[in-house]
Amino acid sequence: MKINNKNIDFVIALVGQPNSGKSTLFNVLADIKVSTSNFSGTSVQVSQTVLSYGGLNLLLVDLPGTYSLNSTFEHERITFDYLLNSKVDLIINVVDVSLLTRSLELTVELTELNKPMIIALNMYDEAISQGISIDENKLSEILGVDVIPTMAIFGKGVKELMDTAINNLRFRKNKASKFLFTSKIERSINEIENEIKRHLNGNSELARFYAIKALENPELLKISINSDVRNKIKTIEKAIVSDRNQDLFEIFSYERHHIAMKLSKQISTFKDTRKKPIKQKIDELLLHPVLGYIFLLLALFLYFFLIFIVGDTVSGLVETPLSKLPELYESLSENQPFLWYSINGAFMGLMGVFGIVLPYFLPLIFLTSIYEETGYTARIAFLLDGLFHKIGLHGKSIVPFILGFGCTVPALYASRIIESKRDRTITGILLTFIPCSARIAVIFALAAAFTGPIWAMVVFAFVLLVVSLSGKALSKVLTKPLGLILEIPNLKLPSIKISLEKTWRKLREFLKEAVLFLLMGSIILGWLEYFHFDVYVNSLFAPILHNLLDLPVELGSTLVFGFLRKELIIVMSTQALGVATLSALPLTVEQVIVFIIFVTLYFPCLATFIVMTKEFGWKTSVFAAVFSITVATISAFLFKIILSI
Amino acid sequence: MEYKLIDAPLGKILKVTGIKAGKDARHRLYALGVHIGDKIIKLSNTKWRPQLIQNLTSDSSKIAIGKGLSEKIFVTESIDEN
Ligand SMILES: Nc1nc2c(ncn2[C@@H]2O[C@H](COP(=O)(O)OP(=O)(O)OP(=O)(O)O)[C@@H](O)[C@H]2O)c(=O)[nH]1
Ligand SMILES: [Mg+2]
Repeated sequence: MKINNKNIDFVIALVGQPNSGKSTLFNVLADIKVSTSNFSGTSVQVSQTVLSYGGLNLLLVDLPGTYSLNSTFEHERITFDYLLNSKVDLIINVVDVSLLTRSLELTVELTELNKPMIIALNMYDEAISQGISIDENKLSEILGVDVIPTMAIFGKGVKELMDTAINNLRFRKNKASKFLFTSKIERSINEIENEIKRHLNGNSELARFYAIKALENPELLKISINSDVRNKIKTIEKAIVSDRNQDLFEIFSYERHHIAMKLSKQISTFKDTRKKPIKQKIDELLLHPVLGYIFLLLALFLYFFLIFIVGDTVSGLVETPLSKLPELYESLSENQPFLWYSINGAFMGLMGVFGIVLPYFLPLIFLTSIYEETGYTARIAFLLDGLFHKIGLHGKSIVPFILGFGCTVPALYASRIIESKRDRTITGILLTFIPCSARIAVIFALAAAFTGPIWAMVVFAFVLLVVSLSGKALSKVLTKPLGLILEIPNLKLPSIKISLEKTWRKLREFLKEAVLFLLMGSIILGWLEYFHFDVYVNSLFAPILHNLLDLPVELGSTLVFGFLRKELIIVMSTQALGVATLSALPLTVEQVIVFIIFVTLYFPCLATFIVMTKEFGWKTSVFAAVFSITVATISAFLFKIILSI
Repeated sequence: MEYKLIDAPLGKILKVTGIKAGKDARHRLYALGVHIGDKIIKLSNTKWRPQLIQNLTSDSSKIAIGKGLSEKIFVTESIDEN
């Protein structure tokens, strides 16, 4: 992280369960800041911003939502690690009051950290409309920390929250009072705590926390404990487990559950409003076993339609002026061909970014964010879970797949909503098979020139088959999936402003991280062309393309261009084979079909590769590349055999 | 009478009596606030889909639970409440 720590007085971390409104709060706070500088952390979802407030320079950190500090999922681990290993001067625990008890379970766990904390009781409006009323003073009294009601989405209570935060930071207010577990557990914690204190010599602030974790979830502990302590834990564990017939993890979870329940009873009253809120009626319709699916089809249709219309229009608008650019450097081609090839390479890359990727990318992010805001995405996952089980995944993978038909890059980003690493990885690998809009263009153009639309349909059907078979195969290799356990958040009206902000952030991230690589890649390809590397490239691909698939050798270099931008294949194949139009290509119908199959399935493009490496690591992206090329080769070969019979 | 969650009646107040799933799934359920002893209500009753439940004990959060898992969660009708 590139934050200059010298000028920062204090670090404030927003911690809360998923969907409690941390990011909303973060953005509201970022808006009131005096001096701005935005950084996004290296880890996917830690965002931070520097703000001046009340005469202090504060670093505000938005941590990924976590249900508890016993993280089973990777992105929850980020929060756990951050809280333990980074300097945090004040925790703002964002609590969703409309889900009070469950949210308080995390609050109870956070008090164990023994760090200065204040609480934002967020979604206060939701709570009121559900007939929940809360005595925040009482909560403050019991917890021993300041409690401020907020409605982050309307910016209400935010100023009070910040004033309270400053007050706490300046005057070092007390930490939260500790909750006691049942006596036997408490005795064991004390025993281990004493051992650990001796061990940590001096830094005993976290001793209780470590003691609790050593008992409930020792895998999480980074500090080494000696065998004495370990044996002690074993003995305690044995005694308690035989006593209560639950493992320690369960016991702690139950006890916190009960503490939270009691706490919630003490501070809240629930008035049954009796009338079924309209939201609930809408929700029943959305999740209905028949009507729900009809609505889903409509929603998906609308989604594609809007993205397609906007993308197509913008792409058209952008490409016309862009395609005039080559005239500007045309004259160079005679005298300074090397320069011409370099500039032209960069130009091709620019076309790719501004002509294809961004026009589809931006409406896609915006609409996805709108759908997500309403809470509908979780409902789609619920509706389609069964279907996805058939290929070894579950419902959450549907979202990236849908996006994949537009462009693989945003689809890869979207796969972040899948918590399980296994499912994310499989989804990412399978995404490389989903034809993006550029590949769909190639399929349609070649099919139109040679075979007619029927074959395009056959190709699509075959792709779906490949996706399901590969999904099945990959899930066999990797461990069994955790069944679907998915929170279905309450329906909400989407906020255009929030979605626009999200789109803007994604755009910036994309421009910063992918564009440079794309341009470099394109320039290098331009050089390859200049040095007539295509000859070598052709011979490199010859074993597969020519010997195995019986296609012209010259098509090899087009594949490299296809790696940059799939629709270049159309232009480049005519150029490589020296003809003017697609239909003049010296290929038989069979050859065209084999070629389409290969082109559709072999690794999508450079941008995909880069983003995939960024999101999943290079091992996965290399595997995906090898896997897809293998599948493409086998599939194309199969088609060749079948067609020759 | 004890049911698997998947077979339990719709709209009745149910008490969770057992979670016989693997460790990860169990931990995930706890994290989402579902524990043995909690009262829940089933909101959808279609066998080929995940089961949709609402936790009444802790609060009103709705949770979808995959088909396989809902065969490993056991509930009884909570008589006093129905
Ligand atoms: N009604 C209401 N909605 C809110 C409030 N604050 C945030 N929201 C909405 O709650 C949803 C979740 O907010 P986020 O800010 O994304 O929540 P988060 O805590 O960052 O979630 P994760 O990053 O997934 O952990 C969004 O749809 C917000 O618009 C509020 O005070 N009242
Ligand atoms: Mg967030």
